[in-house]
Amino acid sequence: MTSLRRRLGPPSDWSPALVLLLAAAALPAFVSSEYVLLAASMIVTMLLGVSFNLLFGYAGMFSFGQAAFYGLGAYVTVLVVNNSGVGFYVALLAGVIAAALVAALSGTVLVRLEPIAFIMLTFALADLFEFAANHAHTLTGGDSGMIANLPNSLSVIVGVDRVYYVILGVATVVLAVAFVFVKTDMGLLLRGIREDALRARTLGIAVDRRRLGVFTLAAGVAAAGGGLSVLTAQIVYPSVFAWQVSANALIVTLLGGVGLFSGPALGAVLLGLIDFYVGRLTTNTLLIDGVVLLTVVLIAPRGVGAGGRGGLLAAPVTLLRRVRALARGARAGATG
Amino acid sequence: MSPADVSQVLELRDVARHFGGIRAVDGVTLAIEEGAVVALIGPNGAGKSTLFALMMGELVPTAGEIRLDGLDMRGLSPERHSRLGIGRTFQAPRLFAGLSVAENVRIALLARAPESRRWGPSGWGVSRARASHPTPTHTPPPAQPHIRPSGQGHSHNAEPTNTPTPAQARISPPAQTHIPPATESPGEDELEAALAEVGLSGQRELAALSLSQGQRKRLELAMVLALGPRLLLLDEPTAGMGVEERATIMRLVMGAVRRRGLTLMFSEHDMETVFAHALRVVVMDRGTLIADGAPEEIRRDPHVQQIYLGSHMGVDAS
Repeated sequence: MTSLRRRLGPPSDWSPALVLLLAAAALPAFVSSEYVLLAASMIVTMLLGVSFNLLFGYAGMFSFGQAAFYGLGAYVTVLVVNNSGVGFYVALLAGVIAAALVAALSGTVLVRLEPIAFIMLTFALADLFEFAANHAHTLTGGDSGMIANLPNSLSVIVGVDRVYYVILGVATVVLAVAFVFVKTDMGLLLRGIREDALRARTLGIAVDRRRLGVFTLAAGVAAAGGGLSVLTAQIVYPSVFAWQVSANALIVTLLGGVGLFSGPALGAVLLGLIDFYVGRLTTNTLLIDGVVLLTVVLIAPRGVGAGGRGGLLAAPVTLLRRVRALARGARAGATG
Repeated sequence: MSPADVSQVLELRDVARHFGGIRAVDGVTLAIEEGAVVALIGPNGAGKSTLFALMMGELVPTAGEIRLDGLDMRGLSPERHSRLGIGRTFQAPRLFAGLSVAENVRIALLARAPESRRWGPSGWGVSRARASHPTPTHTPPPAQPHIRPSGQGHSHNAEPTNTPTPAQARISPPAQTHIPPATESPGEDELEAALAEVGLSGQRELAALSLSQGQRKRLELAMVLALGPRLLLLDEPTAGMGVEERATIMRLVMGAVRRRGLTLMFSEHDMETVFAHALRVVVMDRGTLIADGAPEEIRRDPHVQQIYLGSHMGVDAS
């Protein structure tokens, strides 16, 4: 029992995600289909964030190319659904496996790189796929996109709630896998590698192999998000590989809390709500996103989900400290 | 080089490491016998830390060879070095700073490689690398005394009848030394024992970064010992400590070395510590090895005295 409690870590780490999941399950009973679709997009963004958080939050690997795997998940899912008789779930699984394979192969080189090179090459990988999707017209339809031939049972026009529950169900399974991964010994070893890779190596930990493992898993998680996004969009464009998608993974994780299990879920809800309401007033949602991100980084640098210092509850203290530091700087500037 | 009946754990032959024009380590030849307690001394910049990094595989030698039980270690990763039984601490302790003390040790317990059953008090295990290695499997347990060539120091793992070093005399009777098979996943008992051995049981839930320098050194020692190494490489185990803390950590180190029958090499600036514990002293200066022998010889060596002029060379800690 104590061992289980130790493994789970502080409830503040995972309970917000659990509460959000339960709320998400009840949601369609209370709101219109417009909000159900909003929640569905939040869930997809959350998976993208979870993927980034696995890498950066737990293993210290800053990937700026999770769109590569998200997009692969989307494209492979649509390609398999459209070109074979198998159902959506099998197609989704194929998307996840394809992304994981690409990660396992590219990762053999990528995970050995220095942090900056890792950022650049993960970014380049996503770019490469975007280019390919744009130019392989016969396969992908190029920039006209590719319509997903989904059965009526999975059409948002026929039944939003049903599609929503499929998305929520799959996301819950993926989240559970990620949870088990980070809460077991594998997660602990990765956090060790994040803290000091040389120390980990000199303790005999196969750092590169562990990094490759989490890189592959994170790719699968992002691909699941991409595959699920097909359900609400019903079409896939090369823009699923765009850097903005990778940036969203990063933004929701930073907003919610890096290295917090609930971080991406909280961040995705926050970002989703902001974009939804701001989107009614202006088309410049990116501007508002930027302001919100800046604000959160300034007043709650560890994310809204973090407890204690640097968390949301300590925001007034953090703000005061920053103002004082600014004032000190101004005084020093005036006198010096 | 040495008689075949002496088991050399680690052998360095003409090892060099150059950084551009700087010869950090330049032609070091050194053999460390099983059970030896060797102090590596020398002024700052002598190349001690570089030598440690070479012995751990963090750096690849520019020239020369390093052998562990005859196995050529060149090109092997630090991971492999660790798995083959070398445990190493750093001058500035390297810990998983953001994690708790308990998590730090737990990681070390997890890292203990199942495929290379390391040396425990029960004797030699045969790892894959060792099994494929041409030298015959060693049968004697580490507590076996060894014949040494003259001038090579004395066996640390001497029989109880030998005159104990001051360190040994201070150490309380051996505690339980059972190291469970590496395939077992680390249990709470094992974790608690590892923390208790270095006196950090009360700090187990603290973040490693909140520890004092002395506690950090102790935690790093606990992590390295948790691996069940056979050769300990400690880079300045007493750096940045007060007199009392220094004595404490050395008592812990020597206790672990004796109970587990480890081979120890440590670099050190404090001459009292060196002469209190080392059975052999190796002196480096500007990348080269300038003296190697029993503490008494080193103390009398004019070259060494010249380098350490004005330091504590004259202090007789024994």
